[in-house]
Amino acid sequence: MTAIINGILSGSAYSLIAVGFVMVYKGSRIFNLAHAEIGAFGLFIAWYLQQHKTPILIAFVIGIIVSTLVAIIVERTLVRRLVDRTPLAALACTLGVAFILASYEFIQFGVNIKTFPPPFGTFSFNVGNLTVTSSRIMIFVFAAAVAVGLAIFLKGTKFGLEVTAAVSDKTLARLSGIRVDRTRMFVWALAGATSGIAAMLIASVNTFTPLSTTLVLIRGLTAALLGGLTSITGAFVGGITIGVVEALVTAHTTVQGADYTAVFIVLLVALLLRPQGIFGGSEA
Amino acid sequence: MALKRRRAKVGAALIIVAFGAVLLSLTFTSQYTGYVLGTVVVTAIAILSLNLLMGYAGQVSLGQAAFVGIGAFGAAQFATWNVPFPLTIVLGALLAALIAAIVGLPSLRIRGLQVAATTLAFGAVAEYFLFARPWTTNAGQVTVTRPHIVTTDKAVLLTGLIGLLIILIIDRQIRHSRVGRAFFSVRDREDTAAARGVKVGQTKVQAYAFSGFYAGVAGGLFAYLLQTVSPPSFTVFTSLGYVAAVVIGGLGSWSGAIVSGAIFASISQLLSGIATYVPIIEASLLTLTPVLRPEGLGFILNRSILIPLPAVRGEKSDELELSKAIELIAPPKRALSLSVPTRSLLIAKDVGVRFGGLVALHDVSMEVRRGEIVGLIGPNGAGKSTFFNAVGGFVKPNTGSIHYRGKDLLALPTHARAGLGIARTFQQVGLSGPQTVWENMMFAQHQLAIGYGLTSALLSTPNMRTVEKELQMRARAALEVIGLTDYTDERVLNLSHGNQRLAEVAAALATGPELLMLDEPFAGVGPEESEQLAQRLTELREELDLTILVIEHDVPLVASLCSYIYCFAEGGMLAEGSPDEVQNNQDVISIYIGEPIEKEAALA
Repeated sequence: MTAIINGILSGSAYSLIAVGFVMVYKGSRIFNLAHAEIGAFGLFIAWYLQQHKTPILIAFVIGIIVSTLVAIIVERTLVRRLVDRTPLAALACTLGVAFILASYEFIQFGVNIKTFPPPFGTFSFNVGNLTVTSSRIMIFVFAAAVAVGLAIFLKGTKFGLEVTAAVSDKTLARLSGIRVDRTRMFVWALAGATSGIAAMLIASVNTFTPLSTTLVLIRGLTAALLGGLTSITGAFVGGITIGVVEALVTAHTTVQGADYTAVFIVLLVALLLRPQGIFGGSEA
Repeated sequence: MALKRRRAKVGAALIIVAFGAVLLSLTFTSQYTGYVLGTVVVTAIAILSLNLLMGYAGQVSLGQAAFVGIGAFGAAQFATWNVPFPLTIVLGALLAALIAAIVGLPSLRIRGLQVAATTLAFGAVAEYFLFARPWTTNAGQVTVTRPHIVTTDKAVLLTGLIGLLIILIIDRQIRHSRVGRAFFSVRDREDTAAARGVKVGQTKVQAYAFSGFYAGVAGGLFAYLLQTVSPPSFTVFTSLGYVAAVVIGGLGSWSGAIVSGAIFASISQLLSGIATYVPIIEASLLTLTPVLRPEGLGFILNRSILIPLPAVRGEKSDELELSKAIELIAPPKRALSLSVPTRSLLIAKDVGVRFGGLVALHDVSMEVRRGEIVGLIGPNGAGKSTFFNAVGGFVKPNTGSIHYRGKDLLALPTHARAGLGIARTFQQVGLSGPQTVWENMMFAQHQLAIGYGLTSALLSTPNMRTVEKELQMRARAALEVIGLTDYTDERVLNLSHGNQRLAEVAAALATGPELLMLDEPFAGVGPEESEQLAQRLTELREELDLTILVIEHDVPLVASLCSYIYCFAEGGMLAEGSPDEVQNNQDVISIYIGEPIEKEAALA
């Protein structure tokens, strides 16, 4: 039971990453391998400011702004030129972006292990014999809020529907007066912001280095795929699923790397049995 | 093309000279240089493994270092079990191939790049789990004892060069056989590939296996070069570096892969002064290459004489006689099954297709008789292409049946339907744009090349060469028949839209079809050319004993071409009959006059 609650809490961090990834995929049909790193970049800036006596909440907000800006820059300078190319080109390009950001963090901030304080203060409460800390509950709250907010936004607002329309038929969308480029930029900005939030909240629970982002990305990607790649709800549930699987595995074995292996096997089996994911349907 | 032939020869000569130079230098370089060159060779092979997967087959691996590692740990482990020396590398590579195929299994079920995630996840599994276990490592590393025939770094380098040469030969054989053509066609158009009889999923898994094998060879050589194998050499970051190298080298360019691999292996030493910034330089190149120069280093190399462009056989000198050409691609005489009314080739009964809640086709019945040219008309969204896709196996009808020559088509997988003598073209031209017309002609005949398998392809058996020669003859004949010989060596994407459609018809003809299904062959073709193509199709029906089912919007054109016409509207059959009957049908007239208005309504 403890493991499951633990899993749900840490899984919601992966959900938060996955939801942003799905957003970008829905909004531009691009497999954005830089998604997690864009958030991590915001985290590093926020961490640097916090180290230099900036109040944590202000650092947190600046971190979100930085991530958003990086996402916008990437969209405007690179992604825009790649939307009509092969998916492989976009994948390689976003991988390069992730690499640049990671290398910069590496050069600027070094490899040593860093910690980031919880942006919303430290408090904790007990559920049975499990102590839940403020940052862990905040991750869950943010992940749920972002997922619900985005789902309502995409299905329930005119602009949200335009996002989906812009991808499914670009020409038709253009003819109907949707500004495809602007829509895509907005989606990227939003995803960048959620990635920044995710990175800072994850960092406030665990330690981090410039190398840890890839491991977060792997779980985020897996969560998105489990959820069917185009479903916000699916991505949220996918993240929780991974968190629970990992928590259960680590609760029962101390073998190093067993958690990754479990996640990999879940992904492999899920893709073979249900390639459209848990929530993926015919939805474009 | 004589030029290209010469280029190919010069290219081969250059490779020999390069190998010779390295061999010669072995006699007076230090062991350390031998070691550095060894890492260059190993990296080059690793990049070639990714080039095959990403460049040829269009699949992704973000965990390629894991397969290199499996090859390395595998070879080391086999060595401790007293397996003799070169065999250790081969066994390690086979192990890597097997595991790569397993990791690539989801590609059987999913399209696109989602498999990237499994490979990335596997990279982490290998790094944190597989290589960190007692069965692969002993206190973090495995020691490899070099056999007495290769005790020095230079001797290992020599082994590596031999390995590289073997990989290059395998790579060449793959590219120039049906194995590689299946890779290319899956990369560019999965639907066309399937329609030509390529087993798409199996082809992708095969690419993963080959790629794993190359990577495993690199790993095995690496083990002997380093003499100790430890997990830090095979991290996720190494994998991502490989992706950078292959993209910068130019996806699909083997020489680019080698050059790029060599640079990647030695750059830190060459630029030791600014070693900290090397990753950021690599990353920037990786980011910018797809945007600015998708061809990567291959772009530069292609212009030099290093790369023999696709071997070309469109020789003008021995032009084919048209009559001979027609003879060549005429379909084999197949006996009609007795249970079928003699003249019926394709019979569809009550076919219904639903996508979610949307009814795309509703109880459509149709019959195509042997030797007929049948037209299929109807406004946009009437379900014409959906019907083609149901026949081709791209959508599964919810109701009804489709029989071809008395065979139940719906019971057959997509790729098996090509073998029955059905060839089709697509509404969006189903050719590989970056490849030449000639190569597309060769891709198209996948089903016919059934005469040889993987082993024949790798060994270039006489049987394989005979089959290849026949395929080349057929390709030339098809181009001759359609009148496209002038464009043989042109890339498809450089052709006019009309010529692209013609090339696709030629590719379909090269397969020797009995039933030719053309999806809007006249779209984007000028009026004069349209008439010529229609004329040509009528002649071909006679000459090749073809049956043709054609989708077209231009009603007068269809009426002049076809002997029978079906008209769909909103997923149902609106009218059928002779051209006169259909043209005078009130429903058809109202639909066609009403169409522009409906279109506007749809956009609003």
